[in-house]
Amino acid sequence: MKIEARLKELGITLPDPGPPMGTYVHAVQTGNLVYLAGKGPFDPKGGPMPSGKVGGTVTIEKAYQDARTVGLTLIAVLKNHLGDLDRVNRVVKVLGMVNAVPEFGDQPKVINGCSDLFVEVFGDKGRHARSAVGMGSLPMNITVEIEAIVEVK
Amino acid sequence: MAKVEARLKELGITLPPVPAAAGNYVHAVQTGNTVYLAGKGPLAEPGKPRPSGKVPKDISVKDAYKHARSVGLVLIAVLKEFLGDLDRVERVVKVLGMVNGTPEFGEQPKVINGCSDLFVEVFGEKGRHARSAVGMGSLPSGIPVEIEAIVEVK
Repeated sequence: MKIEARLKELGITLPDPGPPMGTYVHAVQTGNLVYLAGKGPFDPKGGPMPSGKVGGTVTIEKAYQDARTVGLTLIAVLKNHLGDLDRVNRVVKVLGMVNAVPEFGDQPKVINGCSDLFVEVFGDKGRHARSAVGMGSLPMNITVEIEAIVEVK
Repeated sequence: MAKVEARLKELGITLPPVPAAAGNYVHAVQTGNTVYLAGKGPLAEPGKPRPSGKVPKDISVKDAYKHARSVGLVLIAVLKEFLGDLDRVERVVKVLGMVNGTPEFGEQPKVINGCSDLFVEVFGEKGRHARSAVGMGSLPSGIPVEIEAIVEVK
């Protein structure tokens, strides 16, 4: 279990992603692609998810950490779906959505929180195509939501 | 000369250089015969700063259409760099066109047509794609348009 060893090395404990918050599932596989539902910065301790507008009440640095937290949740969802994270062949595509003020322009710096994590954990297999964009609003006013497409074996 | 290259020449199109990625991501990832392209923004017109602002408050629908076309050129340039030969494009499958619009803006399709029209001009029937054209609350560096695409290749 290479990836599990890598997570341990990085001192990462994966959170429990919890149940979906609507009529959807966390992950659907078609062929060797897994589509992951959009996730927020889920607090494994059960606290409220961080909320607010980035560029307004939320700093880029805080939102970067939130994006990393989302990445951890996405990896946890993948582990539950696949059983073994070594089955990840490539993170193909990430859509990073930032709950930002209308004038905000640093979405890439925020979503790097998730992208950096994927590369730390999966190495070159974690390098993905990406769009990092600003949304007018997000569920429960969370700061960041991210969805991903992953090739598996 | 390759067919799509000849078509570009016929249209008087010179592809722009592929810009550096603005973050920890890559421009394109292939899985099977599908290539996922990262979202790209428009290039600066000669002698002008890179376009930024909200449609239609700061940038007209007509200008935003041109910027969407510019994004399309960047996406084709990325594809060429990734594939080597644009004749390997079998079908543009899906486009997500994102417009940095004011909250009341409703003409996203007219803007994103700038990219879609280009794809059909360049690739013909193979350029016809499924699409969503939507409004975003904000975009990186205030660009008026960002577009990502999924392309089937051979």
